[in-house]
Amino acid sequence: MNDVIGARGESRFLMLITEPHDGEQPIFRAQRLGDKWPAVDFLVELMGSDGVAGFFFVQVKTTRQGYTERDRRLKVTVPQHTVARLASFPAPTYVVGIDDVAGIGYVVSANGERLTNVASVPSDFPINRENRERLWSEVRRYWSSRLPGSFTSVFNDPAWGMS
Amino acid sequence: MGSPQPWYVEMRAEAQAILHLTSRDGVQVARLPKGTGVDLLLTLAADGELSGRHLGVVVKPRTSVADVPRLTPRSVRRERAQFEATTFPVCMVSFSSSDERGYFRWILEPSLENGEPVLGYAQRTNFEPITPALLDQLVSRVNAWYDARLGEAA
Repeated sequence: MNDVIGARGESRFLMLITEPHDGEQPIFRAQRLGDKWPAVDFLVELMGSDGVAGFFFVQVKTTRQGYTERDRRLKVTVPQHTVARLASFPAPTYVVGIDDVAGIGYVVSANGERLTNVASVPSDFPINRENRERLWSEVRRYWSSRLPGSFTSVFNDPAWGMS
Repeated sequence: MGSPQPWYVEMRAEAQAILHLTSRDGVQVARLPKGTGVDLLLTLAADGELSGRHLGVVVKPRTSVADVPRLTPRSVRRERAQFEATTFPVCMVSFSSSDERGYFRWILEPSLENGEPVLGYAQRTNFEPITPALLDQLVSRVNAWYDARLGEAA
């Protein structure tokens, strides 16, 4: 991928995930992980009233190629080995597709629902206030569990269940 | 609700800077480690190839949307000492955490005097709004300075 498009996508993700909710306060804090972490780009912490309330990992994929015509899916590719690596993390993991032209990001769960390569992500879950709050709640639930292990995300790709 | 924390303002200002400065084609960007003096290193490369045409960028976060950034005489003096030995153009951009408006000023300003490339401390210390026209002008000016340097070396 073009380096500059990747840099733009990571910056766009940071802007979207750290949008303020109450006044000027974000509900997430995202940290770039750098090239030494090949499968994930960001560690994202949940900001709570009593400090950090959990975390998750994100792989960001950015495109200027737009959407599929049939079901409006963003054309980003995640190779099979990355999908498998994401699913193996003992923490919630997500893929975020960034439409660099429109400046929109879409989140989809990558917690083992699918282990083949990804050629597009659905546009069902844009990173907006509602989905940020849903994301915060589901990751919080995961870390609040006494035995965090199996994890079911609401940000499932509806197409994965059909394949 | 309290003011946003420094990490938040700095992180969003840098992200805004990357998005604005790479909004035109032909610009590569690299984030530099803390302590190197500049936050971003832009490389002008129309064809995506490494060109060596660098422009340093200092990102100045703004805590308030309402404020147009200003520099004190003391901070200008400090800045000039910091960039005394720098040999390529450097500018400063300023963004707040909650507003897309950005501001720009030169620190080490490239210019041509009788066709000769000159790099000097910017005389104007005020900021101007970042617009597509300003970015075009910025790239043209830096390219012209490097063109003149190459002509000088030939």
